Amino acid sequence: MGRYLLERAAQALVVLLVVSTLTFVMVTLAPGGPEIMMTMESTPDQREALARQLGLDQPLFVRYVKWMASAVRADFGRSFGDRRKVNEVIRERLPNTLLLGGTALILSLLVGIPAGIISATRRYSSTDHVVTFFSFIGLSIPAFWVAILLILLFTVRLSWLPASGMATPGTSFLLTDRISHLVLPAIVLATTTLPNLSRFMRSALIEEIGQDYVRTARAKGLPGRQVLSRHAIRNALIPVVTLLGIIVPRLVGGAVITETIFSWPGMGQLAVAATIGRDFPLIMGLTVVVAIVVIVSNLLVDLAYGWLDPRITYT
Amino acid sequence: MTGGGAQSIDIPSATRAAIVPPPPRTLWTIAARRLRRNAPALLAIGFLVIVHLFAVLGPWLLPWDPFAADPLTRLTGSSAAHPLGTDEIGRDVAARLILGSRVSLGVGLVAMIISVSVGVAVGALAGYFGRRTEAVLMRFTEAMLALPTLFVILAALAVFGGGPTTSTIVIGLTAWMPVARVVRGEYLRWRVTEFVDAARVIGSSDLRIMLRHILPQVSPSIIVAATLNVAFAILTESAISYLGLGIRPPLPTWGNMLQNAQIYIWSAPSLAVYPGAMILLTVLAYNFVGDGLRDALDPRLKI
Repeated sequence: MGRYLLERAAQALVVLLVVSTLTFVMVTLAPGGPEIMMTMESTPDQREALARQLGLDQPLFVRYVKWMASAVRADFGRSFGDRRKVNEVIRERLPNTLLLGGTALILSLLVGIPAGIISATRRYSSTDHVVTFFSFIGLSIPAFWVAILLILLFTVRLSWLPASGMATPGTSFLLTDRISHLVLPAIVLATTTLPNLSRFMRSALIEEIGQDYVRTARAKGLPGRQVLSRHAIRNALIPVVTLLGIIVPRLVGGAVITETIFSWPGMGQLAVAATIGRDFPLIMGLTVVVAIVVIVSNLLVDLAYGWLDPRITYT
Repeated sequence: MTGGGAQSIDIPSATRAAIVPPPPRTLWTIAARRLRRNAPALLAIGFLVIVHLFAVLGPWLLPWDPFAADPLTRLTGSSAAHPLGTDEIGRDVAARLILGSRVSLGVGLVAMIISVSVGVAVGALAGYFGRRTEAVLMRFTEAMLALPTLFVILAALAVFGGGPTTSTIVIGLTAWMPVARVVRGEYLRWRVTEFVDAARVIGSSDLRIMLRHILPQVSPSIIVAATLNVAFAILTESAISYLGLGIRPPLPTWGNMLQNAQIYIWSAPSLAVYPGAMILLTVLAYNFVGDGLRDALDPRLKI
């Protein structure tokens, strides 16, 4: 177990190294890098001064080592935009994204797992067909369009829910206010992960129901409901845990669109702003931080998998 | 020799029927028969044919100019002159929708070709050669898979700028990993078969074995993955163009047509409906076809 942990941690580090190197190379090779901020009228002296200030006058290798050395200490330099420290900006935004992503995850688990169970236990019934059809719609609908339609209905037509920001401007923090701002973005974000969950749960449960131990449980006279809840569903949930490894990166990616539409001050919205402003330190820092979140969650999923399923041993 | 020769001998009719060979049942004819029984997939194929025909021919057949702005007739509802109305600067929505389909579908298809080519190359090399090659390639694939795609795409767009070419390449290069994994598994399976041993014995090169002998066995999985990848690419393009970072106006795509929909949501809600519905229906159709193909081609379901 200990060795497995070490191995996985080493793997995660390699992945992280690849990610940060890729990001660095991409940004360094960019045509018209950060110098693009300078205007046509800048004198050569001014250009040189800015390049020196940003450390762009040093050789590539030196810049890479420097960047890595500070990245290890979670220091990604200063944003080109407002000259604030990148890790400060990210620390400010990360909790907001986690709040939105966490809510969306819980929402899609609460809806997706029961939907998958109903679908699997009534396979090929009309309920199953309806669930499958909506799963396909969910897989195919652009998240931003869902957002537009929901805003159209709940904000424009019914004016029930706010469609922008985390709080009503000019008011102090109120839990109900925060929740009402959270509802629409969380629903939109959940639609991007819900269909995967319900479809995966369906096929996992169908596979479990076909197993011998389920037949044994039925044969010894256990009521069908108990066979399901005590045996089949428990085992079917184990592979679903692995799906979280796919769902977490998707939530993070979905946050880009959702946060932008709903002006939710998180990392996704920040990434869009950084892309528009060609703010390279910021976008590099964001990509690395997001990769860390994803890699750590993958690691946790792997460990949870072994803990949940005693048939799996680490060698 | 045909069944005629068999007829001259006096044998019971039941045996005779067995002598006359039925038409060959290849994977493809079986798949075609299965697909014909799948109503949603057939409907989806029909829809896709129409949409692609419109995308190719539409801009030539229809009289409206997708770029001609007319401030006097902005945000009109549907009328005889403009069947789907006009947008915020008076351009014809129907014409832009059709030209947009050309852009969106084009990006989807080319990005799919890129992602499938890279995925097949990586997967085939890893699965066929194994050992070091496999370890390096698959670790790299896993690293790419661990990245949140949209963040990588944004970083790449920040660096290389938007536009149709960059967007297509970036989308293609962030979608090959699942293909590589599937193809690797298949090559692992096929490289130890007897026909591959036989090919090696008669002196076929590795490249020839990979392309001429194993690739045809893998093609069903590749076709399914390709179909689903088109759906993914169209969705991604629409998202980045909606954010204003992919393909920018005046060139219309279904995604960037929705860019201003939120602003005019009060005055012209229909502007938000048409492009979104086109994305949904097209992506849905590709997903249905991909799913139908998977069911039709999956050898595990063979009876």
